[in-house]
Amino acid sequence: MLEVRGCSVRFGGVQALRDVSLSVREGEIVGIVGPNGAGKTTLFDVISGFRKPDTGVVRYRGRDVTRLPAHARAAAGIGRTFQNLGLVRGATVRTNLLAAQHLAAGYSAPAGILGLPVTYGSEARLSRRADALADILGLSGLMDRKIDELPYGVFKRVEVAAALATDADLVLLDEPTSGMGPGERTGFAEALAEFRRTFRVTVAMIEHDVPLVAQVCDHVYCLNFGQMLAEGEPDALRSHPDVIRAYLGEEVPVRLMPSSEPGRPFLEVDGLWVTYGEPGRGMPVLRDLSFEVRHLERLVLLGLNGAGKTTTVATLAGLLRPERGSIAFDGRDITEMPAADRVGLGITLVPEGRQVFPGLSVDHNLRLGAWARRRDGGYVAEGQERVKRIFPQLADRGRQLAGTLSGGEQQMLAIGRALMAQPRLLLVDEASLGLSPAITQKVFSVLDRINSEGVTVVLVEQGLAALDYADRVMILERGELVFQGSTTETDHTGLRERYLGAPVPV
Amino acid sequence: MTTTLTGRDSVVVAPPADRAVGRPSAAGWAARGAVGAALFGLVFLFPLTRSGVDVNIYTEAVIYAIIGLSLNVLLGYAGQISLGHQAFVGVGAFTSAYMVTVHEQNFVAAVGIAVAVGAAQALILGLVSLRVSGLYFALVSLAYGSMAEEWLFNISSLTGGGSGQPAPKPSAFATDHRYYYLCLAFLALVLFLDWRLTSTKTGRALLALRSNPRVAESFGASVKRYTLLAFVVSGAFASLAGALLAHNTTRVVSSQFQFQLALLFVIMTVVGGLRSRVGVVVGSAFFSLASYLFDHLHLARAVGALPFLPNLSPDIAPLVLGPLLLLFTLTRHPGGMAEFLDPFQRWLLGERAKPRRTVTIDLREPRGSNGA
Amino acid sequence: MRKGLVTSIALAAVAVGALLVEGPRGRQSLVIGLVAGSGYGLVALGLVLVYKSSGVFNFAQGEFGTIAVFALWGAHSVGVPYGLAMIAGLVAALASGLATERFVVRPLRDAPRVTLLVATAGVSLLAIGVEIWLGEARLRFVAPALGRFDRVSVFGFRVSDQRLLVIGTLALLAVLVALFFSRTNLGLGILAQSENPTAAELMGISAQRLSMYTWAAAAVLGGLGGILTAPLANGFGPGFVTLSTLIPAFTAAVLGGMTSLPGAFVGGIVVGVAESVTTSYPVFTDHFPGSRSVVIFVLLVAVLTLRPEGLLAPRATSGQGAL
Repeated sequence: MLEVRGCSVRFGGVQALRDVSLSVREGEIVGIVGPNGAGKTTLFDVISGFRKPDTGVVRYRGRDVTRLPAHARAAAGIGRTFQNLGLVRGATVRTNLLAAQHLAAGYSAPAGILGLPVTYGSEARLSRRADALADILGLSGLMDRKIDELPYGVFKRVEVAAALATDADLVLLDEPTSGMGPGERTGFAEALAEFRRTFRVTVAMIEHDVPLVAQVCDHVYCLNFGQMLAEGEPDALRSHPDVIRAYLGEEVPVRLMPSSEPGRPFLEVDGLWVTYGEPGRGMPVLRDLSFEVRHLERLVLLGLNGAGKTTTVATLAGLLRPERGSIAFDGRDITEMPAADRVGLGITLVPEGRQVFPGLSVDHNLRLGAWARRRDGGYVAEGQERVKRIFPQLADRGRQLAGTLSGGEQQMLAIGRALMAQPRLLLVDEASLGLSPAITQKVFSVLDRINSEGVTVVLVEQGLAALDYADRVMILERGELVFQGSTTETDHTGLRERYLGAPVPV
Repeated sequence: MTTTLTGRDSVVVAPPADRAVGRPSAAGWAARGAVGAALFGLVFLFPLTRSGVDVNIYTEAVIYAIIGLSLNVLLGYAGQISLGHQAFVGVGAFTSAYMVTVHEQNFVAAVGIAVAVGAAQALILGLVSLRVSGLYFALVSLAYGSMAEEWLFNISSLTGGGSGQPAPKPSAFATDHRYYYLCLAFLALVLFLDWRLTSTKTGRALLALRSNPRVAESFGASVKRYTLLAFVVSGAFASLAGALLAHNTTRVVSSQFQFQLALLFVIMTVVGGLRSRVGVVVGSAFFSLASYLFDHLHLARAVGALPFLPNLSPDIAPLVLGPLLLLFTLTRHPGGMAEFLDPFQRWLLGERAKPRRTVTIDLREPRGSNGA
Repeated sequence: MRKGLVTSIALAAVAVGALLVEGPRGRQSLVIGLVAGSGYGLVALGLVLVYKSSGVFNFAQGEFGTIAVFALWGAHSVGVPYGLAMIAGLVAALASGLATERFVVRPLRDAPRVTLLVATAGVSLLAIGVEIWLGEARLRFVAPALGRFDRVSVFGFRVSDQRLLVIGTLALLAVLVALFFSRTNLGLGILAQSENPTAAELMGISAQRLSMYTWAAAAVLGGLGGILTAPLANGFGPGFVTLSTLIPAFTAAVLGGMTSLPGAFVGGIVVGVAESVTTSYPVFTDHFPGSRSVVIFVLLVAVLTLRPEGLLAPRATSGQGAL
């Protein structure tokens, strides 16, 4: 039914898709998995018409639709949900379901404006169809509620209803279960099977939840770095070495200085609930999270995408406020403290993706890191010296624009910038992302040295790269802490099971 | 709106403090009837008791209501910031005057042509807006309005140059009073068209387009097509208003269309309440009548009583109070007058608040289960 | 950036050459264009500054200038020495800028950019309204800061001291602002904040404080533009700076890609010269009365549709490294 051949897409200097091909047969449920940034959403954009591929062909029901604009593909029968964008804000459920039936209206736009007789009958018909659809999805009592007022799980349901309302034959679902708890996911899996029966739709689904995909899909494709890595039956894919490596990465050996015995509790997190969106009905990202970080230890926080790792460190650093729960640092409650003050207290975050200031020089970037003590010229100069000693690669690049540095150099700059504030607790989000093992090794050795100089380090990682470095590991899954233990005691095979093999509880 | 945030798999959706449809009592109907009659009297009967000069001012208020509705289509429904709207109105005014004076067409034909020309001009601007992102389009529309005022409306052959173009009223509606009712009829027409627009697929497409263009496309609505349609409708309404305006003042001059007028239009629509027909109509009428009201309600005396401030004459008062109202609306009450006008309209049409049921949805079930 | 710069310089050279050949009228229009363009550039600087830090198109920028001129005139006409009167004007502009930031921009910090744009337009209208109310809608004249007319001649055309002052101020400010952004902590902070607000917040940079300083600076720049160019016009009235320079200043800022400060001044000069030169040809003015606004409109649309990033903006770099 759908055939994608050899599509490549490049934008923003990045090759998002490289020669990707896949096919979906009528009536199938197909899964598309892969780590973050693999190009899955870009692939959906190409299929649904929001992006034209640089090369390659997209064929739908035998017809070449590669150049067809998005609304025309919707007319042809390709429907889609979006990650976090889904519906028309500020409108009711009914309005959304009516809007989704745009193509089935049966009258032209000008006729509608002029109020010709045919429009009244058509509108009534559309309204009846919307009611019927809502009934099937259990949304009947909510037709006149604004979608912004709906809790997250119900919102997602309306999204699916809207996609079905477009009368699509092929429905593309982009991360439909993000933010759902285990029970909801089961319900979703069952619903999907039923829709296939009732509506006779073909489904292609982007998912991070590999076990769910294994349960529901007939066929699975795995993408990484814009390329098709593997495809096949779900079970076969789960044990495929390339897929495992894509998700988990590889361990990076580091020669460590002897670490002191982890001391007193330094950071205590209790009952943290964090949601994105409106308080009370947003998407829950962290659920009742409690843990502690001990003084001078090296901790690594593991989790797949959507697990909530970045949200956790962002909340610790003060960029996000939790809805419930508390955070205490060195005995002091910092839950309500703004980010700037936390820096002063000694908590610094090196954010995901480096986030250097690309138009400013290396020296300027470092100088900004010392913002709290910016008036002290001597302090700033000393700090810059120290960072350049730790990272010799930056020593001669003081005047160079940060945006022109290589990935590894930017990572070093980002860490150096964080060091300028003389942190006592250093949080680093995905230090190894996009770096070669050799450079990652250098980065970890530096982190080790920093730790030996009296800084507690918490790393956030998606794969296993930091296992050698850390003392202790915690695993986050869907916003909940599911495992913690010392790295020496942890069975690495067990980790793999947790990531790719744990079945969805029924 | 309360929702229980649990980690559980069902959610309780309590009703918002919103209204729901109920039926008023007999006394309720009586009250509504009285208010309705009063409003009817104000709009339809009161002008009969006033002189032609006053009625002229009321007619302008009606025309401004049409202008407000036209800007509402662009700014409120389609989300396009047009700061040159006075040019749309001016095009309609000059075209109609030109047709009547130079080509000796009758009123109906002239207005019809004015609407067509206005729509075409808006379409061109719409094509530009497709290429230029939102904020920048505001600049373009501002520059366009300025250009229209300084150049377009000064082309002597078309616009009569400095002294302007005469635009007599149609013979059938030659008195001020009759012309007022004619404009009311046109306002009713525009209200009808606007109502149908929002109730059918076009309105929903625009809503989707404004909130989330990708979603609009995925529903099958072409962003390009509907944006242009919004421009065309807006331009048509605006130039209709312009034509009516021309014949109301019986002479059109380019200096009537300065760029401050465009900002006034934005003020009256925003303060009235975007996307609310009632709000826009009342807001536009209010601003149009502002000097008149200020004068007749003797507010100048109130301000004059304040020490140290020079007299605030009725002409100047709106210039100060208008922007103040705009800023107040934007920062405190973004819904504008509609915040109290919409509930009033609903009341008038017979709705009454009634408690609503709580809905429970079990998310584990594919079909959910609805409990009361 | 280099390509744009070279193109601009080449075009400028051609224009200058053509004008020199043209004769006295051409040279005169070139000088007038430079002066007007410097005025636009001063106002454009403020526009770009605000946009860089808050992402807002500040429609009130022109009125900061008009308020300054009114204050200058008011002080001067009650006998305050000119220099102090100028300072009074700048203080008035500063106060307006801070008030706007505090009462309009800050409450709307999280609102869509469109709302902010309409709000700043509201501020400018309010200013005009108050000016008409307190000052009456008539023209007044304000004396220039420097009064000599015959000291300097350029290309055989006498250039008044005031005109030189305008050009000179713009040039000086160009240097000062560039230094500000590359040397001072505050300047760095503003740049950082506009490049990456999340990272800036992590450094402890307070967006609110920066917003206040930025608006203060923009208001002073607008005020300066007004004070220096008002004496050159045939009188000023309510809304003077907005009516005469706002649209050209925005065009100038757009030419600079809306984010480049050097782009804003060069853009100002380009707009000023282009406008002046085209309107000096009778052929043009005969067919297009009010041709000034036509030129600006065409220039604006051309840049936005053909080269939206502006003539001088550097190519965007990513802050995330290779992924």
